Amino acid sequence: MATTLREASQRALTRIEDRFTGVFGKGCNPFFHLGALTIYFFWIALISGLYLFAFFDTSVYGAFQSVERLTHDQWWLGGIMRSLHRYASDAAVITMVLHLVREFVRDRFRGVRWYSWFTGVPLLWMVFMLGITGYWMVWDMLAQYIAIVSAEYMDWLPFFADPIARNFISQESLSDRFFTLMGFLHLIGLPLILVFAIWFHVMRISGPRVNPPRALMVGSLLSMLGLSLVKPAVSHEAADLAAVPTQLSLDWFYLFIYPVIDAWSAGPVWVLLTLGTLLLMALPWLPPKKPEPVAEIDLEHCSGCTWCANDCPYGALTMRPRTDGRAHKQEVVIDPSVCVSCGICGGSCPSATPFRKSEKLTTGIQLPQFSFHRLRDETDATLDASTANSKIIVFGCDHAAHVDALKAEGIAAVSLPCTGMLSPSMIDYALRDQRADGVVVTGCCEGDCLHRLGNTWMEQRIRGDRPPMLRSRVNRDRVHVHWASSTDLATLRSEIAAFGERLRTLEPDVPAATRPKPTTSTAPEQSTAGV
Amino acid sequence: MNPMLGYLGQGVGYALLMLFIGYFSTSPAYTHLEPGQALIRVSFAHPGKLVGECRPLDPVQAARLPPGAMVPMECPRERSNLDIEFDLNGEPIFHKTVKPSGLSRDGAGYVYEVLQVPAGEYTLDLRMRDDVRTEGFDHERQAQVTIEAGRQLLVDFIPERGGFVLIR
Repeated sequence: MATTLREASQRALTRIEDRFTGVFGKGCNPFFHLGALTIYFFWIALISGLYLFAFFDTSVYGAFQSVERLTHDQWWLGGIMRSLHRYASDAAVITMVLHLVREFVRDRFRGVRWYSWFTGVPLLWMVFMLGITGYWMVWDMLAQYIAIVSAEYMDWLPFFADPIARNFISQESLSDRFFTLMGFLHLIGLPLILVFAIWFHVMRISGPRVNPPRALMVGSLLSMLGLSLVKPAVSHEAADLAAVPTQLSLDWFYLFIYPVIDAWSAGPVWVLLTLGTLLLMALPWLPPKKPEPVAEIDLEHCSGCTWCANDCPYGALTMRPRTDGRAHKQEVVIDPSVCVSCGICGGSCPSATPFRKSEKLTTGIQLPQFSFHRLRDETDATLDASTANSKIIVFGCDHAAHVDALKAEGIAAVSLPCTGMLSPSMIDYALRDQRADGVVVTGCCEGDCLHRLGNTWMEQRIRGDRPPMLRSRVNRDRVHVHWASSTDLATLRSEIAAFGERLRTLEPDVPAATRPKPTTSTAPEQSTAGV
Repeated sequence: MNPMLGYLGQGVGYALLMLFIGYFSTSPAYTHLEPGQALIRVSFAHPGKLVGECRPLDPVQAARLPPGAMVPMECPRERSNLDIEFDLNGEPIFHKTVKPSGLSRDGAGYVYEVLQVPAGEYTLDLRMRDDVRTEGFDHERQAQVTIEAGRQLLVDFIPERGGFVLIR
């Protein structure tokens, strides 16, 4: 039942994302950069907030007036900054919530990925606290309402003998120190904690994307600026503790909980939020993900080249001094608690070359459930199965467009746990002796690899920007890369058809007889050092 | 996709984002207090009387005390609960017993309560008992009050000003 629901929601999400891909392009689909966008909006709020603070008066009587001066007397900059501050903060809530929902639907929160999910939940509280304290500082009727309800909410806890709410019973009971405290919390305390919390949130992944693509940054900033001009943020009337706030224009992104507190009272809301938070934090274990076998290292074939450690998207691989007495300086070591079994390390291993003649093809590092030997066997089998004169082989991944569905006369396909585990020499191998006329590499969309970086590394290897590189002798016209999501099979099919047409116009490559024979020696681009 | 169509689509996407944020950043309006309503906010801190009399120490008890802590009297630490009752036009609207704060129940009792009432003119009766050793209420006040819609009437307790104080 849960699996069916998850699959249905994944399909729905993919369809929505495909629409956005169509409009924004694969590289700039905002759904693929939700975490980075949240951080980006946080930076906008931080910078605009610093400007606002330069003019903010931290006193009971000065706070409201200083914000009014910024909003009206200095509308051309102070007012815009204030609006930008508000709207960027609102946008951060949207991207943050979408990020959470997306990671949940994509099942990227269980197993070894529990850490990022678990450390992300307290971030929700911090972001909302940051927003709420920001609204207090304006000290208008909305701030008064928030201050009193927040104080009454806190007073429900059995920690405070003297109710905090008594600080807001009259103008005389309120002191300037309250604004100093709010200023400290909103400007220094919470943002500092938030930055550290974000660092904790991403610390177990290597090379986290903390900046969205430039086009998205520009588009988001311009839209927030446009909104600031069209609908400038303004205050309610000045706070008056003898009066009661009646009709309020709430910022529902941050203040949605206040009407709930009004309706239910503080106790049930404490129970709801506490249980909700605990449930969110416990989700990775409800139920726990069945662990997959992690990558295995064979030191006999490991040269200590560091390529796999550099490519691991989760920092599961590290290098240490050699322990087996071999001449190489280093050897790779795996942390099984962080390995997600993506196999990208196998694709980056220089010993993963199918041209070797060993009976049992073993590499320095590989997945036991999908060994390099199996990959070569499947490639051989699928190529041999097709009797067509002209053949294209498609290497894809299990989490994107299902390449097995493409199999037809003249089209062979191999699906891997992640495209990143495809060694570039396998492309060379498939094209050798014109066994295949062309190779198509596909997988998750750009920026949306289930294993974060598999498609990025693969593209760089083919381009020759990252080791192991595709050999220069491989005719690049015979290699086509097209990333396609699970609902994008039709586009992939038409891409392959168009690629097939282009292949027909190509001159035949160097005759097989004059090509180098399969060898056990090292290749210039993909060495077999240590084999 | 045609690049121009793509840019147009992006423009629509950003416009929808602006619309969504622009609307929900202030709307729909929320009514915290219905028109015609007002609040009576009760807020004060007051220590009840000690629950027992002080009594002189006999010489044997006094001798047991450390030299630096010799006192002639022994007093109980615990204070009385505060029993508070309010009537509005003769109808009870608030009754609460507040315990003294502190592990030894020797601190002040803190009262904070918000009562929503329709705006109008009322006779407000306020009563509080703060001494368990006496019968009946120790502090009482009756007042004619007018509470305007959207305003609050603050009920404080300041012994120096005669007990219950009403602040508009």
